[in-house]
Amino acid sequence: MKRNICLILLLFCILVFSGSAFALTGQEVLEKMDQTLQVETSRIEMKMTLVNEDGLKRERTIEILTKGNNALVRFLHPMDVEGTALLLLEENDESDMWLYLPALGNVRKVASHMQNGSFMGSDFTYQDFNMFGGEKYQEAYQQTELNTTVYDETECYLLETLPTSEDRGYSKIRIWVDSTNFMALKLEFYDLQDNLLKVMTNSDILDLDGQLTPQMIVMENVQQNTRTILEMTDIKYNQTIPDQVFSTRNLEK
Amino acid sequence: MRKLWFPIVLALVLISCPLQAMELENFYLDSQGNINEKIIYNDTLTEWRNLLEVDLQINVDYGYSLSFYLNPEITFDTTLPDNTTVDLQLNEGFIDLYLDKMDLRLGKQLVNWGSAFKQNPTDRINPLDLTASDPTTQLGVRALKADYYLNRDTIISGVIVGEFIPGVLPESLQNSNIELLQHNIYQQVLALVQDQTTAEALMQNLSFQTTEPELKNIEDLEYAFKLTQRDFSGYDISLSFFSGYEDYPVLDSDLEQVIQNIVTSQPAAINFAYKRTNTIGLDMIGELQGVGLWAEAAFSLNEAEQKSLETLLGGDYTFENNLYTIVQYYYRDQLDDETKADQYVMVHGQLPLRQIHQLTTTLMYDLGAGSILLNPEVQYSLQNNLKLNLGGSYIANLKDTSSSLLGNYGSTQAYLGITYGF
Repeated sequence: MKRNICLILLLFCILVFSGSAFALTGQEVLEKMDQTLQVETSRIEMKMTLVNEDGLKRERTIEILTKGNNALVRFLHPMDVEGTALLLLEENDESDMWLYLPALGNVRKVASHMQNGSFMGSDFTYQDFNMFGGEKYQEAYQQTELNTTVYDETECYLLETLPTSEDRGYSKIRIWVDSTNFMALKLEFYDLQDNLLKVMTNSDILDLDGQLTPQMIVMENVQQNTRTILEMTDIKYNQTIPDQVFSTRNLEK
Repeated sequence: MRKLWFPIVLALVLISCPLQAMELENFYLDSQGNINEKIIYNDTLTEWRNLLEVDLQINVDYGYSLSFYLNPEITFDTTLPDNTTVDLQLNEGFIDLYLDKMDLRLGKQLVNWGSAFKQNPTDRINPLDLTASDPTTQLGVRALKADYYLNRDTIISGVIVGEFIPGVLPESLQNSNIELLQHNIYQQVLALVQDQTTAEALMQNLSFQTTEPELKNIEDLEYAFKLTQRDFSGYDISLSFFSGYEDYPVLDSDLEQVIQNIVTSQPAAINFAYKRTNTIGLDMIGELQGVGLWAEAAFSLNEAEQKSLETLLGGDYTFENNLYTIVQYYYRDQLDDETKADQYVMVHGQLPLRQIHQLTTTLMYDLGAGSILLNPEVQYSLQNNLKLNLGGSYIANLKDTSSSLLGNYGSTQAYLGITYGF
């Protein structure tokens, strides 16, 4: 009898504690992640460092402006890439990407064959840059599994997701989410053969004007042994940015 | 002069460095540049050239409504150590004014129309400099450009050009054209006078001149319009009209009269002129089944009622290994002329090497003349902002035909350069 009571108590404890851990569904975690990142406007200047398989580093300076669901990524330095700009627009649940290359002098819609290719030599694809724009986790990813784990001494939700778009170029994405502030700490991207392709980590997370912001983002291609490091150098939130900045018209400026 | 170039370059770099990025309220100044030291071996001229190019870009933004841009370039030709020549060019220099629905640009500028790669039949405003290391380099013109946005995706553009700038042909090509014409005239004069010595003496009366258009009245100016519709069933479509002058001079003399003057010992001048021409263009770009596609067509009619048609079809694709490829087919037909149409196929590839270096190759095949042009280039990144460029162009006439469209795209040459960005 005593043994049975112990078993019942143990079962009760498991149910209670696992119940608290799974108080949220995967979809709710995704929603809370979106809420964490929600910002009216942002203007972030960052250093992009490309690290190749030999460990050689090359630096670029980029600026990302966001407003609502739209984003503009512009290269500021060096001169051979200066002015190159990518516009991410989301309207009526449809997203469009437009690219301006100063060498060609005209704006062009990013063709689908380019969207999963390397963006300006980095380990990010054009599609990956949607993460800095209006892409919502809850719309871009469909959660299939939810677990809890510890990552970098932080209690995390571990989400296994499928990209909702077939054109995303990944078979699945695993996301480690800080269970206290819902900031994604690590993302694993799997290729279409279901092999681990890239790992993205967000670190040095600071609260700036009430907005959680990773100071450093690293995207590592584990198959090619290359890395791209984004280090924030200047961050401004909720400043006035005119709507027309997010237009093909502005790309050529 | 030899001692002068170094302090000039140093001064430019020192002046621009502290100004590289300065931000005040609503005011943003940015300056960047490249210094490029280049050694070129031209196989056709069997000569070496040593060039130092300093390319600067200065940009001043005032809020979101006004900006200034300057792009001066200084070239020091240090081929002959005791006779360095300096060439200062303002590639572009303009003011931008952004109004509610209209963007205005005034000054020396490049107007890029057309969606194709490097060659754009619908882009008639800026002439080409075929003597440049990249023969698709365009020359800036002083112009006023206005883009009016009817809505987000519909744009009406208009350009008025305030000067006439001719296209630049390599001297060797100009001379060979004149020599060919001179030879033909000589043969006809010889046939008439039946004496070689007399024919040679009479040919002394022959002279050549080129007349540039005079822009006296407003109707003499070059102008162009374009209507663009973006994202029309997934395609960007433009319809354009250009009224201006041909980039290269054509024969503007009655050859029979010239020969008559020669044989009657009168002064005989052959005139070349830049014909006034009107061009209607159509341009579209989009994608089909994941492959980027574009097409351009331009129909021209000049003041001598000569018609020509230029068309271009192209596509691009990026492979999984990030190899970016372009395939283009070009066709040009002088519709009133019995000569064969010019046609070529171009294949272009760009492959990143170990993420920070790049291999670029362009292969052009002239379907009429059977000649090929190969342009390989390796960009090897030595350090941040420091690149080594090794490349060249190789032209071969597979069918041993002297006339080839690809002759316009440079000569067999090799170059080695080092570029420092600041």
